[in-house]
Amino acid sequence: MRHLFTARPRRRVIGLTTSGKIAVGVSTVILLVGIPTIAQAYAEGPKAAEAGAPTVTFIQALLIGLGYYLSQAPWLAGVSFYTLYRPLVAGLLVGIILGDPGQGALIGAAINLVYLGFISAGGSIPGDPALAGWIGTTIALAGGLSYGEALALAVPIGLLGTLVWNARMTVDSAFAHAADRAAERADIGGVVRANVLYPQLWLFLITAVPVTIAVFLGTGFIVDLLGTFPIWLLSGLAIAGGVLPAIGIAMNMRFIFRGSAVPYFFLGYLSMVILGSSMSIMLLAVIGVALAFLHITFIGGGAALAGASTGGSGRSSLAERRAQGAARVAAGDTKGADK
Amino acid sequence: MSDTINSAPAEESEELEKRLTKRDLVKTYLIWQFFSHSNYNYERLQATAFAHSMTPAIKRLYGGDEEQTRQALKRHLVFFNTSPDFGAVIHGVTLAMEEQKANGKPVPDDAINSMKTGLMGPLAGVGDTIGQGIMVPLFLALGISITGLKAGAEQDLADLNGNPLGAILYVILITAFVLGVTWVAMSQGYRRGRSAVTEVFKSGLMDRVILGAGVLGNMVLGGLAASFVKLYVGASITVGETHLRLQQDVFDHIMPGLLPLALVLLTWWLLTRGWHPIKLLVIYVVVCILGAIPFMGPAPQYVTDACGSSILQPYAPCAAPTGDDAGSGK
Repeated sequence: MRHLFTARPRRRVIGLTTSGKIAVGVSTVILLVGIPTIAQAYAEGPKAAEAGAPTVTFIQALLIGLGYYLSQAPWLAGVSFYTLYRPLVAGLLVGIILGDPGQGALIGAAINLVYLGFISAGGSIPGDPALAGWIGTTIALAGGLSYGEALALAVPIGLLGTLVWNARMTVDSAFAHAADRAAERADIGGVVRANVLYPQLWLFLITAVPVTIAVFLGTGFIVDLLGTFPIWLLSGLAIAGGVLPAIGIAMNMRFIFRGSAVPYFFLGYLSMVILGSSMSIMLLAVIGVALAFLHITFIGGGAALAGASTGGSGRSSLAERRAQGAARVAAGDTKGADK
Repeated sequence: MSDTINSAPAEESEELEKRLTKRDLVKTYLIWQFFSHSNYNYERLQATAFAHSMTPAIKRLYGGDEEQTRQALKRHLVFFNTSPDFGAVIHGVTLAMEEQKANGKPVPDDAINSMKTGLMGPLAGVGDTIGQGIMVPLFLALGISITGLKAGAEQDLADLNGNPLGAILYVILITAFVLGVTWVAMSQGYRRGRSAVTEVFKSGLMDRVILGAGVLGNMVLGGLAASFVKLYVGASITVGETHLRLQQDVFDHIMPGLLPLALVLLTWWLLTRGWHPIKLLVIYVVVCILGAIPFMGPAPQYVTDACGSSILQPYAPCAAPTGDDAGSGK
């Protein structure tokens, strides 16, 4: 099967991935369009500001910047990638910072739909859910945006986030060499510093600092900007709000929508359509557990989802990993590893 | 030779002069748990984190011997990349092998390296599929549904009362899962050794677990798709005397929820054909905006009353009267 990351080389010292190039391109366009717009808004500024443009205090902006840094930093037992990195959690925390946890969690939940199937694979990410969550929730909460507007806004922000990711992954390679030099001196402390101190200083510089500034200076402008959109354009964003979750869900389907588990997707979909609001996700999950046991017992495991089991995503390259994994599990322990 | 490597360290603990303590194991666990992605980079991904996590063992086993310390550090600074939670099996097995090596058993560097590279692929596959692919979306789905988010029906988020407990529950569930899996994986890897790990892969147990999780994941994903993917056509066509509203008179008659299902399947198909998600995001937003251009009728005054004047329609199917008016305006 042709796959998303097929053509990508396994190691990369410097340089951008295909997604990185797309992200840089799109972000550049956004910046080119955005900066003059913001400058113009600034020129006409006083009027809009008096009209009650929402503001974020510097302390709040700082906390949001710190939150975004923490979402990628190791300090929370390494689980921030599973928690603060996800818009649902980021939304709750932004909500707490801005004084409305319930609304924050709700907006975060909406944005999270786009990134439901987010998987970091081979050191590349399809958009940055954390930036979309932290900044997107801030703007949506401050500006009282609708569901669709919040979702549509989160997309370009998430794209910008891949710039941060690429900057981090590229520069961090240098610290791996610092670790090499420390190892040559048998300097354990040096290796630890190369793994923690330098990369974290760099990460702080490229996450907390720009996000704090952007949130502090930019929130009001972007909300004002959205206020100048014609109604039909807002309708378009609202439609996008219904369409974009399809991508998040489909991204996840790449990994589990295969083999004998496929019919259960339709079963889940149709139960929800037919039963509507009387069916909850929790109920569906409980039924799903029961069906999973039945399925394994009566149909058996075997190679039904074999592609997923040995390949999954992997972090070097999806397709490569898949082939590698299958081969290694089949023969690896007798051949390669058992010297 | 491989028998000595594979046998559980506990069985022959009396023979070993240099031994890792439980404390070393916990330290390795904590370092890996915290710093596995601290210096994540394009060149060697988790290499420095792996070396960092081996430092307690290196101090214990080779402490004071500069040459051996140097060799050990260099040995673990090579390319490494796996699932941070399930992949901790490799750390356990590595600790066991290093322990043997430090006690003079013939464990060549190659054996450790090939074990690491041999296991990191399959474990990344299993870990990413179960962890990132199934458990995270499942817990997220639960969390999102508890926050009270409703798609389409209510356009304004401000009208809904969000429940922060959804996000809190998600954090608790996923944290317990990640911390637990990493610890179990690492300690089992250390106690049982490499042969046991490869046995698990060969026995098909992993396949059954993944299949079961896949069934559950598909159910929930289907439900999520039905709840949150919305696509309504506002346009209508007139064939002779008959006025057909595409949404109500055509699509809903074939099957309720037909368009969103088709959209999800199309997106999935495009992704498997190698389309990049970012490209799709951009295309979809552009198409949605183009679809909202009111070229068939008067421009809407509110987001909700765009009905019939554009191809696509936000939030809900058109109410009947408005649809007719706008449709005849064409």
